[in-house]
Amino acid sequence: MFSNKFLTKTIILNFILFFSFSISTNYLINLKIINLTFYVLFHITLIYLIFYYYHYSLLFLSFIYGVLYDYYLFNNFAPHLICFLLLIISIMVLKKNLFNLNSLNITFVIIFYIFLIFIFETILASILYNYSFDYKKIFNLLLISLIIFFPTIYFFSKIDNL
Amino acid sequence: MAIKIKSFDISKAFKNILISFVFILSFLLIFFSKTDYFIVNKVKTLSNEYVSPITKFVSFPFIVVSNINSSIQDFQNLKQQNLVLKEEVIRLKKWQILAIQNSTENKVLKKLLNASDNNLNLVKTASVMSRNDILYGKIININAGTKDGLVDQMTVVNHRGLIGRVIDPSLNKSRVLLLTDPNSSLSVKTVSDEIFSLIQGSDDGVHLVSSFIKNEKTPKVGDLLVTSGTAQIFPPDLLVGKITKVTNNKFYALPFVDFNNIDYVQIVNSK
Repeated sequence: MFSNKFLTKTIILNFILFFSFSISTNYLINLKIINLTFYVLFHITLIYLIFYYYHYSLLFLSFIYGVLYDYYLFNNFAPHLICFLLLIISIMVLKKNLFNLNSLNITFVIIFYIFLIFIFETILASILYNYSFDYKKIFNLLLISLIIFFPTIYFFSKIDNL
Repeated sequence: MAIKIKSFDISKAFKNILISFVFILSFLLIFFSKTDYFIVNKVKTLSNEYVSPITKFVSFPFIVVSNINSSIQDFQNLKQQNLVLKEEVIRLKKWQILAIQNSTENKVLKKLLNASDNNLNLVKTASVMSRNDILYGKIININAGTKDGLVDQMTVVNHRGLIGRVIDPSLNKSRVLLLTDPNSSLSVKTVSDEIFSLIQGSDDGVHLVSSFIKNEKTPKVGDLLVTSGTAQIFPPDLLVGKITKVTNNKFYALPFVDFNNIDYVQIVNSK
C-alpha cells in the first residue's frame, strides 16, 4: 500500500499537473510565453510522475488529460491522447532497462522523451487535423523545455525529499 | 536518482484488462470523433460545461496579470494613439457627410426596388470567456449556449465582420471556431468582380488562404471579400477580409476582425 509520504508527493505533483493544464489552456494574449511554459511544465511533470511515481491509475490520468488537451487545443481527439498513452506504455515496457540507468542517464532519457512527445504531437496534428508542422513552434517548445527542465527537476527532487 | 516504482499488488490479468480497456476507449473516442457521434459531442459538452470554469478559476491570477500588462501597454501608447485618433476623427467627419448623403439616396433606391433592408437576425450577444487559440486550433469560448437559442454552425460576427461559427454548444456555453483555423473553410466572393472561392485559415494563424477559386480567375490585391452564402452556413454579404497577396493559384487575405481583441461577439442567423 501507499505510505503517507508517497501520497503527499503524488498529490503535490498532481496539483502541479492540474495547475499547469489550467494555465496552458487559457490563452493569455500578452503573456503567451507563460502559456507555453506551463504547457511544457505539464509534459515534464507527467513524464516525471510516470518515471518516479508509476502507478496504473496514471493510465487513466493520462487518458483524461489527453482527452482534455485534445478537446481544448484541437476540438478533436487523438494527438495528445495517443502520445500520452504511448508514453506510459513505452515506460512500462522499458522500465526493467530504466532501472539500471544512473541519474544522469535518466535525466537524458526524460529530455529525450519530452522532445519526442512534442515532435510526435505536432506530426499527428499535421497528419490527422491539417495543422501544419511549424518548425518555429517546435523550436520554441524545445527551447523552453531546455530552459525550465533543470530547475523543474531540481524542484521535484526537493519534493521527493519531503 | 534511482527509480522508485511503487504500485498496488494487482494481478497481471487485471492490469492487462485495464490497459486494453483504456486503449479500446481511446480508439473508440478517436474513431467517433471522426464520425461525429453523439457520445463524443456529449464528452465535449461536459468538458466545456464543467472543466472550463475550473481551469479559468485556477488561471485567474495570470489573467489579471495579463490584463494589467495590457493596460500598462495601452497607457504607454496613449499620447501617440491620441494623435492618430484626432487625425482619424477629421477623416471620418468627411466620410460621415458622404455616408449621410449615400444613406438617403440608398433608402430612396431601396424603396423604388422594393428591397429588404437587412438579412440578419440577432440571436444573442455574448462575451468571450476564455481562449484556446494558443498552439494549434483557433477556438474561443463564449458565455451563451443552447438555452439562449444557439445551435451548431451558427454565424458569429462583431462590428468589424465575420468571426467564425459556433461549435459544440452546451446549455450555457459554446465554442467558436475562428476563421483563422486551418479547418475552418468558407465560401466567399470578391465585391468588385464576384470571383467565387473557398478560403481557410493559413499556417501563420493570421491570414486566410484560398483553397479553391471558381473558374481559376485571379482576384486583385486590395479586393474585398464577403461571404457568398452558397454553402448555406454563413449568410451572404458578411465582411470577411481584404486580399493582400496573390500568387499563381492562391490568394491571401487579411481578416477585418482583429482576433486578438475580441471581447464581445454577436451570434446571428439569416432572416
